[in-house]
Amino acid sequence: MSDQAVAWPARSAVAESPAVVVSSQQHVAYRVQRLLARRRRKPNEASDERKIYNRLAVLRAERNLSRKELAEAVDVNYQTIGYLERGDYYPSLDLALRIAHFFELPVETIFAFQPFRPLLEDLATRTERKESP
Amino acid sequence: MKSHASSHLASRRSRRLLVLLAGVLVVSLAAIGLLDLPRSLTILAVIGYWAVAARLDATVGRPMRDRAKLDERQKVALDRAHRVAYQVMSLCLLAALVPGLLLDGVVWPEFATRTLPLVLLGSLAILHLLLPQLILAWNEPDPVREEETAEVLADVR
Repeated sequence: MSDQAVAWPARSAVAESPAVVVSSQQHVAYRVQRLLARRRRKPNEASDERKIYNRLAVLRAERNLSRKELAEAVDVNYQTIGYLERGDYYPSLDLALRIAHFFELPVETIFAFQPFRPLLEDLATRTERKESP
Repeated sequence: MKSHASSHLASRRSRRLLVLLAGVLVVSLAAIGLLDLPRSLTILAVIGYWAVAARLDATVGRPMRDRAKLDERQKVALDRAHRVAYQVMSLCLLAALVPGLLLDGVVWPEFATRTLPLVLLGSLAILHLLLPQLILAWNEPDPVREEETAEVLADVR
């Protein structure tokens, strides 16, 4: 995780800015919290901010595909498809593109950094947009 | 198309129990060798170790043996296991050097001078062979059940 992503000022910035007062104890406590959070992370999870969500289960259910069928189509083990759906494993770019190619969808409609909204909610929003002049 | 190694993963809980059992058996074998305990105990420990090692091999060893048949996730898991095993073995080898270097000139008990090098070498050899499998067995997530789709869908939908 890059330090830029953390919403806490660096010590040098704190020293320069009189508006932000952070004691050494607070700083140490914050560092310890970050260290513990890093230890709790899954091994292939880059950081909490980098969690990758996917719609594989929905797409598979829509097309009546079993994990084995999808796994054979994208040339991976069927357990890997299950781990992807469960968020235990994040795909490489190669695998993500292969999956997108198989479903004939852009890769960002299958994988995203933000949680996907429920399909019904998406549909309702689109219908509202169409109806409004 | 490659035929991917099929996983016969047991649940993570049972795999972790197997790892703990293997650890206990390796320590027991070392203790038996060092303390010159009865032969029947040695045979029992060897049979137990063989059974656990065979189970581990069937669970994570054999399915991961042919690298050409693994997919990207399996290769990542295997490489990570070997990397961690290498680091742990380095520490164990350094730790094994310590008694020799630090206690040079110290008079050791007779049983220790007779069997310690062999026991140490044997334990390190077993650890070297077993460690990647132990790490894989400990780290691999629970296998995915087919009925899990409904649970995942409930989360996504």
